[in-house]
Amino acid sequence: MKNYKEIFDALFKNVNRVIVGQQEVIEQLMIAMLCDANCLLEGYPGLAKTLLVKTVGDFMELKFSRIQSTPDLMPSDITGTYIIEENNGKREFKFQPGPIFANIVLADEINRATPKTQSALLEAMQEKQVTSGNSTFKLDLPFFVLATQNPIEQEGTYPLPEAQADRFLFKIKVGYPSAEEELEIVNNYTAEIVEQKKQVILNKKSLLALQAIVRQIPIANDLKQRVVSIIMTTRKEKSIIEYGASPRASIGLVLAAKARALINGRNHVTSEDINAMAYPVLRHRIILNFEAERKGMTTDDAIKEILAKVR
Amino acid sequence: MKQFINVVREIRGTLTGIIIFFILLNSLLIFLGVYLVLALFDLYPLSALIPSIFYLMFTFYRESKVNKVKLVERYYPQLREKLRTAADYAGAQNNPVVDELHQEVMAEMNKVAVSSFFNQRETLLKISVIILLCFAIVSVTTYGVSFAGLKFKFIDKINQITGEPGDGSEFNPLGDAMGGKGNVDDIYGKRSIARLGKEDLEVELKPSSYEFAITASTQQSEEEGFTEQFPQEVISKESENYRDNTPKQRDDQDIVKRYFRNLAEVEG
Repeated sequence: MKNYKEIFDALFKNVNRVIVGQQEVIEQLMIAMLCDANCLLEGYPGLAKTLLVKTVGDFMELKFSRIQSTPDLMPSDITGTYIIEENNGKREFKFQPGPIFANIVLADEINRATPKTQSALLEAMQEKQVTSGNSTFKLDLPFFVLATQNPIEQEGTYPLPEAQADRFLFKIKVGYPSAEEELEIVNNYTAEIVEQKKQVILNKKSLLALQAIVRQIPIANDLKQRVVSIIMTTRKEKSIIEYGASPRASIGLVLAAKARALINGRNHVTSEDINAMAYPVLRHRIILNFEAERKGMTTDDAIKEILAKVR
Repeated sequence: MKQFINVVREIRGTLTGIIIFFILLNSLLIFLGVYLVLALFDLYPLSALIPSIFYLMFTFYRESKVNKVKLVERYYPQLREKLRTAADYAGAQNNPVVDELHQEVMAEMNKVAVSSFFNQRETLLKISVIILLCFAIVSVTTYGVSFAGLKFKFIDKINQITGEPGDGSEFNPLGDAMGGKGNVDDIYGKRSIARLGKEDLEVELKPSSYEFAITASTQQSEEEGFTEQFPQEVISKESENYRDNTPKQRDDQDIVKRYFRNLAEVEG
């Protein structure tokens, strides 16, 4: 287990050469990838969300593609389409794969795409396959959709429906860097551009093997029971929560806690893993009621309250 | 794998034994303590079994629910959540991560000492108290030390507060009820003045004037056993005595005679 920790430490160190700060975001992104799950990144513009995803992909030798979501983006723009191709004087339809055919797909500003286009991502995210016309195409594994959304400028956007948001394992909040970190960013990006040679730390095969190991990490029965109690409490706590989390949240929380244990070089899950993972797992899965919103409560506050209650 | 199952079994067995020992020790302590108090107050001392058995059963039930593995974790924080996870996956097979965890836990279990679950000072203190209580009980029962008087005063005090009849006498109703001996010689109570009409009469009950005393009767029955013929002299004696010793009745007859005589004179 300590060997695995060394791998992840090396990965974080290399990513930090490009991305200053954002330790928690990088860790959560890695956890989502180890869980073979999709992630929703929310943060203000200019916080290096796209750069972060691209950098992680580079260090892991994964094919990266980016989709800029706009209201006129069509599903076929993502999945691909049939085009007529002339071959030896004969015209035939040939499937032209879209940007979804990659290992890491960054769907930038997903809430700007129409619901029709957003739902085109659903099959890919859930089934790891794309259907176009009468044909179904398997996606190359590992496959992750990392979508970003902007918490401001909500005019003309299509907020993700709850059913679709539930398919993302995490909602990661990307915050502003500290003053020291920002100074370091300024120094790094205003100095002479030096082409850095990127070292591959994890390849596809290793990542798939690590995904299998995550599922082998044991978790004590009472910790599993606690996870279920946390999720059940989100449904019962009607004083602050309108709608609670689904069983998918229970699965996600246990899996995320296992992945966090692996990243930290532990061969078992602890309560700290569950507490740390509860925020990104639950934050987009619970809807606060009017009373809680009136008090200025956030979903993170509600999760904190629930975690304190379920010990 | 089998090795780890044995480790878990050993943990549970050892801790169950320790817990049973402490429960029995505490039960014995309760029994002896209550026994001493009951013996001092001349109450039925074996009633001390009731609280000690109640404690024993309640604690057994409560302790049987306690997870023994978590108990070890409480004493050894480095095993926190690790030991219980390993115990939950004791039967897991073909899982290299669990195997590694088992190896790690077994290595750390070597540092676990059974003595750490014993609070030596507390155990020593309890055993000392038990020995002292045993000596105290033997002394109390041998020398007949009793605080029964305090008990009567206490009962009288309660009677005063609650308004129950009680004249402060050392009448012991519990003595008979509990099969003991009442310690009051005068069973007829104190002399008292009864009021009859407008006239104050002094009534004196003298048990000695009765020849047909309880003790005599008991002795007689014990000596003679069951006889077919009832001893006639007892009946005649008592009857004569009763008549002879009631001069008051003769006075009353005189009063009545005098009354009617006066009435006849007045009318005549």
